[in-house]
Amino acid sequence: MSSVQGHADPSRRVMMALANFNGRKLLFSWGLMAAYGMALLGTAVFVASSLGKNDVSFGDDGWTVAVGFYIFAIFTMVATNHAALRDRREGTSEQHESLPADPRIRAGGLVLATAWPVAAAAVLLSVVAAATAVWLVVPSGVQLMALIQTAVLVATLGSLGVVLAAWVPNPFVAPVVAFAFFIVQTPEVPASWHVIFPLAHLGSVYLAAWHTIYLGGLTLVFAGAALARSGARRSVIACLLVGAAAVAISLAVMITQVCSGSTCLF
Amino acid sequence: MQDTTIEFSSVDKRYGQVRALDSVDLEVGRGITGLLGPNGAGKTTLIRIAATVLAPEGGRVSMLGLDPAEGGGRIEIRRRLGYMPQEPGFYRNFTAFEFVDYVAILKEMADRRERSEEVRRVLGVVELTDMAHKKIKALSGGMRRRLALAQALIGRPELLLLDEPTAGLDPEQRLRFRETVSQLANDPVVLLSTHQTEDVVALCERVIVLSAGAVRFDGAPKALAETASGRVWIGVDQDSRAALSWRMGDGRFRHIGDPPPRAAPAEPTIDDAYLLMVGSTSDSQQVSA
Repeated sequence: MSSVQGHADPSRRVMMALANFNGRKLLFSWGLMAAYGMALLGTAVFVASSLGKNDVSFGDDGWTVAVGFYIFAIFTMVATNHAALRDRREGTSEQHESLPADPRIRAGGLVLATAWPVAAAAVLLSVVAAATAVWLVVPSGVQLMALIQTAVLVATLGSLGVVLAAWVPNPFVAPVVAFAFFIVQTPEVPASWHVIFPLAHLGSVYLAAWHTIYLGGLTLVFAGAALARSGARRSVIACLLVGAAAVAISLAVMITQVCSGSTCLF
Repeated sequence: MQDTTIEFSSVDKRYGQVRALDSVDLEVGRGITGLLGPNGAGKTTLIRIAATVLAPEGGRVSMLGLDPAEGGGRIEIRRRLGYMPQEPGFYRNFTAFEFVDYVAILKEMADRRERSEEVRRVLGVVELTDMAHKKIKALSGGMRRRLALAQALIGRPELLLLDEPTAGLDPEQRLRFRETVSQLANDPVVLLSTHQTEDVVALCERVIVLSAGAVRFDGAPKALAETASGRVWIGVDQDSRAALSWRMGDGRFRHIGDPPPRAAPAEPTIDDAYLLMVGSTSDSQQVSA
């Protein structure tokens, strides 16, 4: 008798075990460690250059932090994509197909694994917020929202890596998308549609919160789409619908309110 | 445990115009059963169907009393089987331990402590304990084969499917492999596909010969050898009437086929019987012993 028998429905526990396994592997992959180093460097540069200044803001001085974490988020996407394509790359699909954890559970385990890079980013961002508060100035609500938004962005792009692997299983796609993230910039003249850019920092707590909801919605859409590749279950459809609703509502709110007259809250 | 673990009834499988399995009927029960046949005989197709990674086009399959065509049955079968494919894949940048650990999770071992113990156990069974924390890309071909066996042994499966497990191994590694398989604890049902007759003689209580997608023989290895009785002879010269002949180390020739009158008969081996069986294209009858 197999020792694994007797579990009623072990899929959630298996998914969590996979998430922990994949999360550790992601976090200690050389690419992500290098990107985390960039985020650390960006943070260190920000703190070092801001010491002694009276008037410090993330908007003006925190670009090194933003760039470091942007790189970390993009590398998270590449790393999750690389991990999701592991079976295809290494020829293990067949032997893993003979195991009880189906592709939906495997994809779910990988989507949830992005919690590890998110947690790593959150730790460092908390240090940024604390260091700023102690040594520089008390961060404003908008600045704190920008930090939260950055952590959510890691989850969004991590999920994007998994969904790309599920629907376009080609190892060249994620690097191309990553490159596009670097070269596609927000145009000089602000327009309301620019809120779709993941790094758009909006000038009020209210709108920044909606932008965070927008990123969260995208994360759910990507996660749902990755899981839907191996069958649309009720929970997967719910995830997709909630995510799509969050994206639609947040975009509607931001696009209608971000620009008032000639002033845009970017 | 029921006596019959795998049951194939009139199972068909085609790849385009090629008929890989042609109305195959077989039952596999306790012990180690060898699936012997030349390349392209349909062994891998049969093993893949048994491993639930391939669906047959016709006929009925029952595994461990369950129907793999039905979703719930398929998952339950997968919980209880171990599968070592012909060309196992590995995550080369993982360590041996990590790879087997990952497979253990996919086998629904969610508890980390229980899983670690099981991974250590199976790595010990295949004598890879010392290599547990080496990256797979640093392991030799033989070690990788043993690692593939280790991942199949996770969870003490009731049914073990091994597809050409000794292919590419040197003699010492093959002997080690045989030792491991013969000493498996928990006495699982083992279906071992091979084209190496020595593996069958050394390990199997029963052998099924598959050729051109059909079962040609089903019985004990000794009974397989006996099917060549009277059709093997020794001569000093090559005999053109033999279906197959080769020069032996002592300079004499061993012939198999229909012997001429007054030929000196020789004791048949499983190799002789196998060669006669798979080499005989006109023989479409299944031999049962």
